[in-house]
Amino acid sequence: MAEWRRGILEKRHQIAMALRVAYGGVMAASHGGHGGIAGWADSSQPYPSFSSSAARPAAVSSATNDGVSVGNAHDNRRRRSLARRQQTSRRRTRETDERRTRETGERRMTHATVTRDRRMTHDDGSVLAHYMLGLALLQRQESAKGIKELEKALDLGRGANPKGYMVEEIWQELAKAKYLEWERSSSKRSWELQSLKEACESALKEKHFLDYSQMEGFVDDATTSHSEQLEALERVFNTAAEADIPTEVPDYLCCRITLDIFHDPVITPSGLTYERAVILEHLQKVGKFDPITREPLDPSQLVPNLAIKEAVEAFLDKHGWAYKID
Amino acid sequence: MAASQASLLLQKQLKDLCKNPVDGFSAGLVDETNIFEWSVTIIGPPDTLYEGGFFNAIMSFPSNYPNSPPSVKFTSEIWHPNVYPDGRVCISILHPPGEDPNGYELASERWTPVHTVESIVLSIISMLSSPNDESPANVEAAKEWRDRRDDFKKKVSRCVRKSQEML
Repeated sequence: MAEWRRGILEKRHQIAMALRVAYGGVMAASHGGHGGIAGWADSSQPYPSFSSSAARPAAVSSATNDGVSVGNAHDNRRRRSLARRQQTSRRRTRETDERRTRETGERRMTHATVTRDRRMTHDDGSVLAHYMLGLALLQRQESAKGIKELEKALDLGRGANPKGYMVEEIWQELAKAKYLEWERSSSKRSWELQSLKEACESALKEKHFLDYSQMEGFVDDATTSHSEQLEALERVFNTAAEADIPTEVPDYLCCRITLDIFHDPVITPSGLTYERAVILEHLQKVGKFDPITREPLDPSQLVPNLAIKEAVEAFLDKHGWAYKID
Repeated sequence: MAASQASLLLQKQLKDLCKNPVDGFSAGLVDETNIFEWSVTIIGPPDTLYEGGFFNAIMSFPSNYPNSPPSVKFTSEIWHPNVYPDGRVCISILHPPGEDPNGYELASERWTPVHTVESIVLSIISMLSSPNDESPANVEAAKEWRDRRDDFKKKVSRCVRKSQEML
């Protein structure tokens, strides 16, 4: 009974910490008008806990050192570095968080999710903390940071329980965020390319006009040359835009069961690669065999297919449209 | 997650079949609001008794697809050893591993999650070409196919003609 309560309290604490970090900027912004010592003191609140936790590893490492001076120097360097990082974070936080967020909405979202996931263990609580922080940052339009937190939550979640619904949920939020990011950047790229193309076409027409006015007697050749140049230009710009045009994800990057791009690929002794959560579900519910070769298969034989995972990451980096869940 | 996974997977297959139709059959939803009920029209395979026929069938997918197989039921009249009189298709790949109602199937031939609408329908088309009389769903049809082939052919021809009239 006591352990159960302690677990609950610990989870609440972690969530509170995550939210405090997310909301810290808001507090700083709201106090910004007053300025002076009060604002500074308030904005520093989220950081002492990190400082205390970071100090513990330093203490342990210094205890194992024989030379006292070496330990002290190392310890001092670490503390100074940490302090500098904190100052930088504070400054950035104040500068970037000028807009006020809808606290009520975020709090409601938080409450609903926390309520649903109350039964999760300590590890899952850590996952949940990063997940909630990621969502909060996305709400505040801080896409890059939000995505980073969701990726952290995803890695932790897979380590703890690769089949858990939390992992799938985190992936979907991450995919959504990445897709929106791609959509924004591809729109910008598309506009830039179009502008450049129009500038080039204008330049070619101008050149053609000048050539036409200068030469008398070779008009047909000049016109043909001009048309060919325009066609070549079209091909160049089409090629440049290729990466942003949604097509099909290659079969070799897709799971044979889900038909979707891999998130967490694992390979069987038969040499076939599947999505981890899906193959585990198959082994549990259908039978302990490789779905394609039908060779006997045990969950312990599944090995992460890191090469395919890297290939997927490379593909998604280049083709953000593939994040869209059809 | 399971229901959502099945839904996503079926939607992907529907989209893919619309974009890249496969020879030999056409497939779509019975009702656009229900991704788990598909209507399939199978064209009778060339060089078989069923050539020229257009046979309609309903595929019903479970919410835990692809961990469980769909059921397939012909709505057109069809005379075949592996189709029950009520139209239900009885082929090994549609049977969950472990279940063996007739005691003849090898475990290696039964359901596996990599099967899709396309692979299932192609298996049914293959079944039309090569009946399996060892574990018949329609005993009468199996007997005719084995012992009185001419009678079997006549019945199949009648089904083909009837399916054409239904168009």
